[in-house]
Amino acid sequence: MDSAKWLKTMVREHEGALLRYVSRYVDRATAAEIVQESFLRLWKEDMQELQGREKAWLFCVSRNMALDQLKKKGQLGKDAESFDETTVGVASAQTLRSPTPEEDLDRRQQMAALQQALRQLAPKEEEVVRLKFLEGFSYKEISAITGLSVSHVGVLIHQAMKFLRSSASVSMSGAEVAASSAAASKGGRP
Amino acid sequence: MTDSRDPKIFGVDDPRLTAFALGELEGEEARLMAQEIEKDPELKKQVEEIREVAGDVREAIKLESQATPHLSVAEREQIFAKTLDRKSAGARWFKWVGFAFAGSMALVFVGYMAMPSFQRFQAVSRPEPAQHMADQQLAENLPAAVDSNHPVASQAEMAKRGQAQSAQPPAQLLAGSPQAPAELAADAEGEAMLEEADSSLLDQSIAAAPPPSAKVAAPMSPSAVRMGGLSRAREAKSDSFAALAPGRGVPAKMKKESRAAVDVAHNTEAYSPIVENEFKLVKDQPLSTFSVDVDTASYANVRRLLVAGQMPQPDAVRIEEMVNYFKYELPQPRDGRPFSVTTEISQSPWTPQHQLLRIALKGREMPASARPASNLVFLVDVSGSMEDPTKLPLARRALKMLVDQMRAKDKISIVVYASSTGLVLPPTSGENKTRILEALDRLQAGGSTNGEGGLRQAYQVAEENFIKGGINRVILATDGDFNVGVSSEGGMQRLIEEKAKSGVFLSVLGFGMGNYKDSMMQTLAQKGNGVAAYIDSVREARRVLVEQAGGTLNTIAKDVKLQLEFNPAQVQSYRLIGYESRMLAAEDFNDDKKDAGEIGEGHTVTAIYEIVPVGVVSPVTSPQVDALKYQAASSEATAVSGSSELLTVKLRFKKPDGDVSDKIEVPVQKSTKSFGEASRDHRFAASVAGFGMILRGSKHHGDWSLAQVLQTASATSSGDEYRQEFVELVKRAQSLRQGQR
Repeated sequence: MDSAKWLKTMVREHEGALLRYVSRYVDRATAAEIVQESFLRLWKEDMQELQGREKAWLFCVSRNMALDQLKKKGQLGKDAESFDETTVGVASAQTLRSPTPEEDLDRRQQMAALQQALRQLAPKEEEVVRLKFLEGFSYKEISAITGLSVSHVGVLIHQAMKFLRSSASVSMSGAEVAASSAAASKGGRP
Repeated sequence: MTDSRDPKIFGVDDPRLTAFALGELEGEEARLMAQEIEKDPELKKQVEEIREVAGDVREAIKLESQATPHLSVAEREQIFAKTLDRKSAGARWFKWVGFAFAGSMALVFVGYMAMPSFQRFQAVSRPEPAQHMADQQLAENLPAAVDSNHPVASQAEMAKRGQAQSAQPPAQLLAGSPQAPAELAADAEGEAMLEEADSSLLDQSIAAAPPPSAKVAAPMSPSAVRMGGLSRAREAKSDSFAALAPGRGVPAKMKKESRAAVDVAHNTEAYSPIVENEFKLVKDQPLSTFSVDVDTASYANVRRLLVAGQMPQPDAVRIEEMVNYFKYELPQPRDGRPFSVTTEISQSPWTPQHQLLRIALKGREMPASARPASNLVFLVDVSGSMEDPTKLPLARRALKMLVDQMRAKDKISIVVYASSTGLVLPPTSGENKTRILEALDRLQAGGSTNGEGGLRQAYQVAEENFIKGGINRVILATDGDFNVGVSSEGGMQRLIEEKAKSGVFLSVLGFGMGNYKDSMMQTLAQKGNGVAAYIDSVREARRVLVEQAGGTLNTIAKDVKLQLEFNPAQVQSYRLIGYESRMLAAEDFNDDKKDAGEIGEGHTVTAIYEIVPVGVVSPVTSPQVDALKYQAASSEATAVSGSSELLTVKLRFKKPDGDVSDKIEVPVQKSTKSFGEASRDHRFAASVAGFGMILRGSKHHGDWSLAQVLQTASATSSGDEYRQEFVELVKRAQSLRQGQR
């Protein structure tokens, strides 16, 4: 495959996910520009070298650019290495769509509860959860994207999962909630 | 995680349980975990529950995926269009980076992922937000029928793209090729790289040629052609900006900025012009005084720009730094002096009526074993911004090269700074290399930049381990993002100056591209009586830290100044080529309080003067002023007119720990040597100076064009890879020039 074809394939496969990810942190126009730039950088990379890691690479590059943009605008501290409450928000509240009426009531309630809970995660947790469950990255890849250690990623996901489990179980049994959310709230949730 | 064998340690609230449930554990660990879970029904239930919730979470999050945003067709096309434009930017070099650094990329994945250098992206002069929004809307309003393979781009779209494009070209180019081809290559790859250089040169000429030929490579020809045209127009504009910049006196401090500015982007307007030295009449100004400069950063810069397919801005070109980049065969000093002085004079190759004087200083060389004991403190910036293969991993490799040369009597300590500072390696003898190398391997980037704190700690360690009569030096490795902490930059400079006086010198190794604070690094090194080197490749690291380790580590003379006194009976006028920012007033020469440049072990410093002998009708002789009405014409000239000496070179310097200067005087006799009869080094140095003048658009390069530079350089470069690389650069400049026509 030549590099032009490769780039085309990559854009086709990852453009949407990348834009979705970046749009959570910066405005649409900036996000589009970041996504464009990420692909251009990808194109300069060695195809073979990156094989299988393209998506993670793109996420890493885009993430850093988004961080830089936020720092530039003063929305993040100079030394920030991850997004915080002030930078996530607008987009994240909008992007979660409510379940459709076709789905059965229980399921809808459950999903709504989970979505609600997702929004309550700390920004770092939410980011890794989304990378894990939406984008399908492994801990290792998430570590590479965010610069967090693999074990830190593991802890964040573990904590988030505990909190989400407790929320999910609301609709079923309220018993476990108290115990797990008490533990989960240590994670600095609002 | 061997403790997973112990069921008691491994509980319900263990991140590893989540990891296992999500399939994140591997190998032995996963196997052991599976065993444990098989034994314990409670754990089993947990795992199942985690998996179930994970599925729900996945679903909940994916509900939004129906609303996955997409780039507009136009936005997507911009990506492909830009690749055409960037093809010329030496995309291949970029790929080579991967190979060049392969060795240092043990933690391949993590390291590689951290690759981007975002400063560059930021440096790209973004369109103003309003403008940007307008562009965006325009882009999104395009007919959706635009097919990615056969874009029927509207006039408006093409214009728009051109605009967006023109806002960015230089940084793209830079971003595209952080390194010159040969530079990049670890030794064995050198030849392959040269081949690459040739083939890419071909690309260059295609890309740089007038629009029609751009379609050769273009799946998107209409807009690509258009973009090319526009960005060229923009470049031309910024060139003319440079030309318009007034050539008045610029404070030396300002001039320093130009280097940094050029690093960032070609069309950054934040540089100040270098005002070229003019011919001076000997009867008005018989003395020419300047400070030595052993820096070579400008050459690396020019090389990078040329490889990126750009003619450097005139002010990026510091001729003395280009000439000084190369090695010359010069005699060792005698009589216990720190350096030798060689002069050679020949006919000027570009203006045959003139003569070319070369003054070359050569610092004393000594075998590494004779070098005084060293007390080196590596001060390594491990802040987040260093996490880029061209930064920390390269710094690590560079410092290892230095460690390899250490002897039992040498001591190395490592201090790191990021958000906080710390001594990560206490003073360790050169005998325990493994320990030092291991400490370097452990360095990880992350956090902010408390440069000042690090500097203070490094000095403290250096002072505690001070070796009298030895080399005491802090070596700062940074990307230039040197946050000054609480105190001012001035305060830090004073600290460095003070410590330099007490005998602890500072050298600065710069890493990474888009080095905003390059000028600051230069200043710090100057205050610290050390060298500022810009290391952009393994090869450059080897040059600075192995081949020239002595020069980098061991200062043998400080405050080295030159003063030439011309004999008016022999010389009508003269011009110093380069050194514009190093000029001193005549009275500074004997003033030991005036700071000047340092010379390290084995360093060479070359200065080239063009001389107009008396009795010659020269096209460039300074315009004559009217004879003075109230003063008799100077009669001093006749006093020693019998002398056949053209001039006398005077040098002043101090010992590294001295306060009082010594003086050397070297008279230079007339010569009738033709340029062809001159030494190989003389001719090569002249070719570099000539190249510099042409790049600078100097009006003084007479008959010479790039063809003559190439001819002279080729004839004097055999057996020297750096010179051969120079020859390649001249060729590249030639093809770029042709493309511009």
